[in-house]
Amino acid sequence: MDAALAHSFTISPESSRLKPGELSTGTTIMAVPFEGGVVLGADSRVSTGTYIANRTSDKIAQLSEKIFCCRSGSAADTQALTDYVRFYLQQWEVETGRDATVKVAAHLMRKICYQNKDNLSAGVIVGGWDEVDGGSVYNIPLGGTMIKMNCAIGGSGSTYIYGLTDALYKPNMTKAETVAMVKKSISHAMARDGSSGGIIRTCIVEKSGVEREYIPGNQLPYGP
Amino acid sequence: GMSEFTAAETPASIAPPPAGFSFENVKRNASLASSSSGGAYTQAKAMKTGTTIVGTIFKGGVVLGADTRATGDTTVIVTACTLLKRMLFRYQGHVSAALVLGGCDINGPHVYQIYPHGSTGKLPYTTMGSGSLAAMSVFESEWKEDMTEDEAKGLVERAISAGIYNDLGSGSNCDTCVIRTDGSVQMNRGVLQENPVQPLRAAIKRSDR
Repeated sequence: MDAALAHSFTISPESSRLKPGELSTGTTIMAVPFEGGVVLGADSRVSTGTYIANRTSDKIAQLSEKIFCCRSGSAADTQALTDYVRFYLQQWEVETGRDATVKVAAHLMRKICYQNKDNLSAGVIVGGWDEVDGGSVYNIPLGGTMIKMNCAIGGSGSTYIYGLTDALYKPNMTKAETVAMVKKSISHAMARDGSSGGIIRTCIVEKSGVEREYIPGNQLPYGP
Repeated sequence: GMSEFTAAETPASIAPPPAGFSFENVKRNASLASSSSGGAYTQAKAMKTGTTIVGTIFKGGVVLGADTRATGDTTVIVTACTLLKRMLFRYQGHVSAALVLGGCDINGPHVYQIYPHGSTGKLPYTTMGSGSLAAMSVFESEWKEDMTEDEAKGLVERAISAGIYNDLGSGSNCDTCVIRTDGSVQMNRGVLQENPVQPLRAAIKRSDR
């Protein structure tokens, strides 16, 4: 297979829009709601070209107490995006006197992504728990579409696990089953995608609180 | 006569420029350099400073290191990571600054890496610059948690040496800076002087000696 052609098939839409030298959270990100909460997961690799600038980065950013967001695409754009949404959400909570809902956070994120679509290279997944809808997940790929989903995957590594997540996903999974599915899926993506790797970070959000953990790179459920 | 020197108001052309970067000449330079101007003007190339810079935390503080080819004036980085990243993001990568930021606060020692497009990462140790791969190979082999100050300084010096010797864009000598949690800061210029030029210069036979 022609080397140039082969290369073009593996570049995700996000990474082909990066400027030269810009850092990419190449990435595999995922979020799945369960009864009473949500599980978010991500790899930890940040690359510039073929060099890994950060092999233990945290791609799961906190937007408010029980709302998080997985970042993929340009590291600079997504960090600025999450800073803005965190700021607006804080203002929203002060002005309304209520905790933010995941829907509000996702809409805010979507608005900024859509209105600045020409200048941003960012695919995010917003997930969290709130009193109104319980656990919910919104996928916001490049361009600013917002879709509420039962099993959201994103980033360059996600292309390798569409089949796997379709096969593994069942409605009404328990918290433990959901966590296992997320860890397994991300491991498989990390094994095949050059832009994903390092450790798997997970974040489980429920009414009772937030649990953050990570699996070291040599203890992944799947991989060499 | 001398009317321009006695003008009551400063004309706009010599008024002090507003604060920040000025990109006034970008369009002018582009049209001068383009073929439509006759090709007589060749644009001066900006000097790129290849370099090796590193930072690491240890038990009692932070050690920063740099090769001397990049070190010019004594510029002090006083802005926090957020101010830097916001400014760099605003300029969308056109301000070509890749930084290692280190300092101590009430929570202890911290090291950040900041890229030209405005992304940041918080790490226990990091390297940047054209010599960063050479320096990172030393850090990845030898870094450990809770080093003493001497261990950290030695590690930083070895990492910068790796950049000096293996990267064509880095060279000369090494400067380090130790920032301790007790608030003291120690700048060590020329802590490694492995490429002394004075003896080489002195050995040249010249007609004025």
